[in-house]
Amino acid sequence: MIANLIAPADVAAARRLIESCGLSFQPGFNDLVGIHEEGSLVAVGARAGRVLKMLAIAPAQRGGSLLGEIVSGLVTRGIEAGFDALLVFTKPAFACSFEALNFTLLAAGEKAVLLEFGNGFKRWLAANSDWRRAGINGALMLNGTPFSPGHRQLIETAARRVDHLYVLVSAEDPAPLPFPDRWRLVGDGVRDMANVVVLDLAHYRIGAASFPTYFLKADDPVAQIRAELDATLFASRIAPFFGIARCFAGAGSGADDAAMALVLQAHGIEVSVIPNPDCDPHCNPPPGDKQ
Amino acid sequence: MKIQRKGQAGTMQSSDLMVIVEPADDLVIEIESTVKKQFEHLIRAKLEQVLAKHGTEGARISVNDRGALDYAIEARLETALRRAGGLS
Repeated sequence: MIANLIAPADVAAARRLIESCGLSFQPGFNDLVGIHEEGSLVAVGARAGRVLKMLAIAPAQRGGSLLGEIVSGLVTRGIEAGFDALLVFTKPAFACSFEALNFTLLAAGEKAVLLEFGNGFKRWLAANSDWRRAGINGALMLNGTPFSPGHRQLIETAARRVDHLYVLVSAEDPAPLPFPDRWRLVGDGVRDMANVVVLDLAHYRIGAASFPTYFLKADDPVAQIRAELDATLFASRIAPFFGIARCFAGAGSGADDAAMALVLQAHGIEVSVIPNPDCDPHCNPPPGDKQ
Repeated sequence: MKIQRKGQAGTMQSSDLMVIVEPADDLVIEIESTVKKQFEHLIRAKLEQVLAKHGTEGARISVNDRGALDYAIEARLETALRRAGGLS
């Protein structure tokens, strides 16, 4: 019987089980559920928003129905909370356990995989299919800073080099502005450019805030693993749908951008860095710049 | 009957299925199954039969099946419809 784990003693028991399975306990969840057998906790799992995490089964109890029970409980709670698709990030070795539960593998990296329950990704593509454009298209990821003249310049340069340019934004980006405001500012900023489309990647951009690290080791390069998984999802699932063959980045990108570039290139996507000494979109706008 | 709200029933256990019913403009059935290749047409036929019996319209029916038999499909779908306000 599946139970919500709320009392401090139950949460402590969950933490022990999670840690004994070589995972780490990561606070920050909406639900923590477990299954007891003969008085001891044998299976546990958590849900943070649309993301399932910290799924752990006691070694002696594996291979049975416990994972299915825990995942059922979490998915049920997630759907009640209003999410129509649930995501799980885990080690590549566990991908098949989730596929057996009808999860779809969305992206596979060396140290992390992303799977989804429900047809969220398929529905997202369908909902955005009006934005498909023929030709050799490009993409430019805007980070969370407010739309600046530097962004505008970068977009103009990139848009001249492709048939259509997708400007990618997502609520998953770390940003000082709420997403609806950013969405409006970017839309207003490029309205007069006929071959530019602003595309909301929603939660199919893997942001640092929602990427759980419970299955990684303390010395794993978390930011790089996340960046590679994000780039894999984009390059293998999103770019082909929109005919995106080139990705643009502003100069002065960090090490994680280099990791992303390698993944994109491995999927046949050309990566162009646009030099722009005056306005680096990865930096905050200069003081006095209107925000 | 018209679907009024989201309703779900079932589990992801082996030999069971999870059904989610939500309001939609048309009647749409989405099936995921571990035995999709062999049995999707039979699962769909069973779902359609139950939906017709209750005169369900304007609903998206999402089914995640792990090899459930007919009576389980019928019971889970009817429960989800009831919870979605689609049964009198």
